Amino acid sequence: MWQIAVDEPAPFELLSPRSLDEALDLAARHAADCAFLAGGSDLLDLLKQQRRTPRYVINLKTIPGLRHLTVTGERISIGALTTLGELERSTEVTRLCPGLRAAASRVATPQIRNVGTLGGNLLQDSRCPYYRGPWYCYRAGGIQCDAHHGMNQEHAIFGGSRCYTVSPSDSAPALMALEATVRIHGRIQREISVQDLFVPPSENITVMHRVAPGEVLAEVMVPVRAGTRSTFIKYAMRNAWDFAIASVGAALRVEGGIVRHVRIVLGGVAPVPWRSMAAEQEVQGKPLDATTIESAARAAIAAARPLAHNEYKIPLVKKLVRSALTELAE
Amino acid sequence: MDNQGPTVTRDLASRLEHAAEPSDPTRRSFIQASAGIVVGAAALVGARRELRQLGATTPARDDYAPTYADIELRVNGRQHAVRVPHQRTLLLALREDLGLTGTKKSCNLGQCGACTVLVDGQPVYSCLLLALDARGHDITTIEGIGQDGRLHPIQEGFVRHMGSQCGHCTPGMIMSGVALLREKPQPTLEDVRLALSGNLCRCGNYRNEIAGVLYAAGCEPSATIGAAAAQIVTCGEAESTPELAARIVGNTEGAAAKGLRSTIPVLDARNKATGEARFAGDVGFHPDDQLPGLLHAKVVRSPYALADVEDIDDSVARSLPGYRGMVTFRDVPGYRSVTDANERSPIRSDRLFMNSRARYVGDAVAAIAADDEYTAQRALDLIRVVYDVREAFPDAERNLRDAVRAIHDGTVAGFAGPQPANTPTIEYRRGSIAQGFADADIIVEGRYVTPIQCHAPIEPHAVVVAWQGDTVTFWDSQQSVFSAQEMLAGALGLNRENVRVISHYVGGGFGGKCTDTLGKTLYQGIAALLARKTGRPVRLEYTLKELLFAEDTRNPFVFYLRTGVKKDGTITALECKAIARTGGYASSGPAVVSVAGQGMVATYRIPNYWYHGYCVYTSSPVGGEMRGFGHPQAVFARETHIDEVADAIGMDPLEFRRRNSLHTGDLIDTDVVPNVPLMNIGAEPCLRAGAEAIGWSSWQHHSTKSGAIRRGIGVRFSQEHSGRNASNGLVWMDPSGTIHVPIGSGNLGTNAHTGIALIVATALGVPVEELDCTWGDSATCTWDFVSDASRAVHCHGKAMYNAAIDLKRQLHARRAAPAEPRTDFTPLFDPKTDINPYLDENTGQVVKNPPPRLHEQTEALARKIVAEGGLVGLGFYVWNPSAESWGASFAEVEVDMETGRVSVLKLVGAHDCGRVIHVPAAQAQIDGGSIMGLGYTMTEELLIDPHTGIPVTQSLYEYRPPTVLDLPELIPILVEAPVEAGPFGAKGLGENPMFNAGAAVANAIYNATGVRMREIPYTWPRVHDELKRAGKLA
Repeated sequence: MWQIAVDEPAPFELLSPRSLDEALDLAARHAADCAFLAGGSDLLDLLKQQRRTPRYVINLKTIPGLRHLTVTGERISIGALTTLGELERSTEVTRLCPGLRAAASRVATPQIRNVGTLGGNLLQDSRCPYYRGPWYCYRAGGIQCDAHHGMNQEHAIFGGSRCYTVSPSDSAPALMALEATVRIHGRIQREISVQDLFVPPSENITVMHRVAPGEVLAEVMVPVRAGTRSTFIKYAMRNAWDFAIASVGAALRVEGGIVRHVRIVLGGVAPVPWRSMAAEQEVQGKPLDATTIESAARAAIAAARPLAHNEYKIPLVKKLVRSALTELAE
Repeated sequence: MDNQGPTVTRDLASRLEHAAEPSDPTRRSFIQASAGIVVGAAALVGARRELRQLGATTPARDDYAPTYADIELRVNGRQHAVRVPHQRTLLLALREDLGLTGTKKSCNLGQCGACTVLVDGQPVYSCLLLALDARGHDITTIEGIGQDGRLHPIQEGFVRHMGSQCGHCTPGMIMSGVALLREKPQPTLEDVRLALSGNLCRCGNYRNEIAGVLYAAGCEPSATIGAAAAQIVTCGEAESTPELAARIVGNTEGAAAKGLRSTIPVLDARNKATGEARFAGDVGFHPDDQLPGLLHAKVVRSPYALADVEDIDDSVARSLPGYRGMVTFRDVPGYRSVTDANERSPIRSDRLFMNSRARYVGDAVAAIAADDEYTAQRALDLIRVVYDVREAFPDAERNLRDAVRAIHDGTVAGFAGPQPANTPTIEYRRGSIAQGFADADIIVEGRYVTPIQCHAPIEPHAVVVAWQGDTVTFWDSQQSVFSAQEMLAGALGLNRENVRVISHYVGGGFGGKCTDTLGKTLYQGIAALLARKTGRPVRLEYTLKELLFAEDTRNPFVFYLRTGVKKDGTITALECKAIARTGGYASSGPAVVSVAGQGMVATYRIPNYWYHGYCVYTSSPVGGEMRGFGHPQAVFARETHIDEVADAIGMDPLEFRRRNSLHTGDLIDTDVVPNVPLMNIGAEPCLRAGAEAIGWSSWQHHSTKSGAIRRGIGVRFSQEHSGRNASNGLVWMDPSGTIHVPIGSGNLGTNAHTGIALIVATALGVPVEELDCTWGDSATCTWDFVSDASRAVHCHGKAMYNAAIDLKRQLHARRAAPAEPRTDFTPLFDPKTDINPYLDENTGQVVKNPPPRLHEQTEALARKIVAEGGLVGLGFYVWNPSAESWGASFAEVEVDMETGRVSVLKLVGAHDCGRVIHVPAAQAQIDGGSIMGLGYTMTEELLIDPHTGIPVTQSLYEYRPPTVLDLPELIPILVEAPVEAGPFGAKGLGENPMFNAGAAVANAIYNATGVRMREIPYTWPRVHDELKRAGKLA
């Protein structure tokens, strides 16, 4: 229920499980009426505006083992409750995955990074004001996208289908570019790629990701491959707080002057982190020179379909891809 | 026009959720959704019902009983046992349960930083952390950083470097600094900026906040952040009159020697730096001022842009434990007829503080009170309101064209109420524009558009009300305690002496907390009705959404400008048609439209002009008073337009302004009287100093620019009044010899109180530290008109100056011979400058020869002081319209021609404030105005959904006030062109800097790109689309 004069949560009971299994049991018991709490910077907002009014909130912070950062020869394992601030300050992340470090450091503000978790940043809900506000949009269960013909300056230029919200996460494009995977703890344990984590509206308009109710995203694994360079660049209207108007996470490996492996992923321009395979194809197997970079930048925007007020995102994407590849070429 | 929608019942008790319904039956989205089907009104009605059923599938909670926990919190090294409901945030636990009100509550959603505390040494937003989750951690608040009664070094730095303007962001800001220094004792400037980037300061005092932190780290801020102290330019001196103006200094060294140009810590610097400053929202929680039985109020606000309330029913809520009652529009004194309701005031108000017809989303229709905030929120859900939803009319130009009368009985808001569409709210004319345009070589035309700006102060409006018999006390966030007292008395049908308004600290006003007409929101009245009905004290505090759009905003305007000019640069005529959206109510809109008109025509020598302004009703957020009051809109339009005029004749835009500028002695028209001669104006020095700072000599025509990244510079130039209306002055000495200065101006963050104290101290020749200064209480302070319109230091300061001189004379006389207690309460004034015609806001009439008499409240206060053996000095001043302040600003921008991104690199503000009384405060007005103006120009806009009239901008994430990381290099220049009317020559300064960005940025963008952009803000999408339209996108 949207109320202008409401900004405290409806009463709930905070449950404090000691293990992931206990958390899952609690979630199963209160299936339709519970929410998982991690850092809380998104959930508390939704609870306070009573966009969500669960009777039970299951606190993941009381579960040991979800907040860690472990580096092995092959990968970095990051507990889902590791804060963005910890990632930002981690020397290993800075050294091995500069793209992830850059993404973490560009989220919101220092205060939010001190509580906001990596898992929460990946799984945060749509920021579309039509969805969060009193409109009864597709994603909220209605029959139309009010942004499509309303104020859509910040909406999708790729992949819109009934819903034109954008993926708000900064860490998602960075992790996708690094081909990270996530471990989902549920009735069965699953490990899926970050790329497969997100659900486009064409498939299911009511969810943003594939972590089902009653499941917990427990860990993020980032492969460490020798020679991989990564970066993340974000355009936002303000340099603090703001979500990305457009962002790019990119990673590649150059061998013998030729790009052997590349991932280019855009944030803030599609309902999911948008892997630009068209741009990747222009780079793969080629020397990373100005010509290659320019054709990749052009390819990245070829499929863009702007709405009435967001065409400006197209040159931003072009510039982002160019800047990211130029940085990685150096 | 009167096409009524169907009756919609919002019945939450029966689990129906309707807020998602579209309010506009012609909503385009639905028609698109029914592609291929021709739908008429009947079909749409059916569709609305269907939507409602869909809405009803959302499950509603029936079990809302909170679960409690007994927890221990370790705060500032001490264990506290506290019982909290599970959903309680750490912020509320600290403030309301532990009484630690130094941590401030503002947006309550992690979007401002005011509630920052340290958890295990790291800064976090306590509003986004559950109290239960803070168990087992070390929590540090502003109350816990000093040691043994000594301030923390950052607190010292904030005191020394004026780290606080309003002070509401201060505790959070300091906590972020403390965390930084613990981790990095020797931070760089960049470290400090990043550390403070999660703390908004709406006063725009970032320079001094950074300085405060750097001071604590042992760095000298001036060396580190550059341009730390404003350049001061002095030009000319006021003529002295033998009696009073002997005090006006003869030269600048004298000014400094006499205590002006001071840099002392402001009067309440320490209270703000320690968090001891208590704001209205803190009242009732601090251990020192608890109010037993305090209730929490919530306002029932319309989710529809235009709807008539047919019924309101709280029968379900009444069964809720802790629910204490409801008041509705029917309880508003004078309800039934808008005209009857305001019979106490000859100016009719079209708005009551709750209304039977909701005229914008957020309009108040009822309110409830309950024991705590959770019960109050639950009760809000249980109130059943039956709305008859009508078609929304959000577009002012369309409403004017179609003569829409669906909102009020008239299309245009006039000073005397709604009036027909063909009647402008205000007109100003001089000469003959027909002749002027006939004489012109070239005529330039343009249409200019400005957005809705929100005040968005860090402190949301809050009031606590308590009745004692027939008298009522309001602890309010209030700029103007005396006008609030008068308006609330009028609105509630009370005698003024039975109403007391207290507001010692205001967490940012900007015009949004100035209850000076019956047309304002008067939320305090709602709380008062609830308090009277329940017999208990009641607190009401805005949420962020209420703050953004239920409260008044800055009116958006469309200007049609037409200027005739000769090839030699002489302006021959100017015509301006202004159309302002006033929203659902007039509020201050008509006055804003008239002040915009004065701003439009009062900077240049224009022999023929015609300004006609229309303040148009729209079913959108209400426009009203905000810093600059119509001028930011008008100055953006005029100064962008004037640049086009200069361009049309091929003249350097700075030279064009210089050539047409008004001079000292020229005549201007004001809303009070026509043909007012200008007193000493610093126009030319502002232009000269500013041009030098931006490097204007390197200005090049846009045709010389090329490349993907282009730079340009632009200029803006204009005047601004130094106030309005009358002020009283009162300074007194008690039998022990202590001098008391009960300041009448509000403490809204400008630190004007320090300026006024310095004026009194200098006039008396005593150190300011020896004065007992108080403020913010209608029962004990000197009556002053209001604290807005750039008037505190100039108007109230002059009256207090006169009072100080009056006291000094009596002291001299007593030294010569013993004297009887004072029986004549005629105040002191300078007949040459201090008695001027003024506009009586209650009658709408100009008082041509005001009697130099004290307001009855000041006289009563003076009589009381004398009766108790005190010696009282009394002063009087009515704003002299000849005293105008001037400002010029210069911007340098960089435009990315590929994307349309505009970066403002440098912003120079050169301002003639007559005389600098307190340097940091004056400089902070320039910085703060520049930053607020930068937001207005670049990012801030309250967007309204065109189909439903509901604001799309619902949080600061979308609204985007500038953070410390979003600032250009700011160069403040203070120009002194003293006027004999002002205290020591001082003029107003609060508003002119608000115009600094606007047109200067617009003209710089033009200079860089050759594309004229006539609508702000220059968001990325807008600039991109403009460049594309012009074929200039790379």
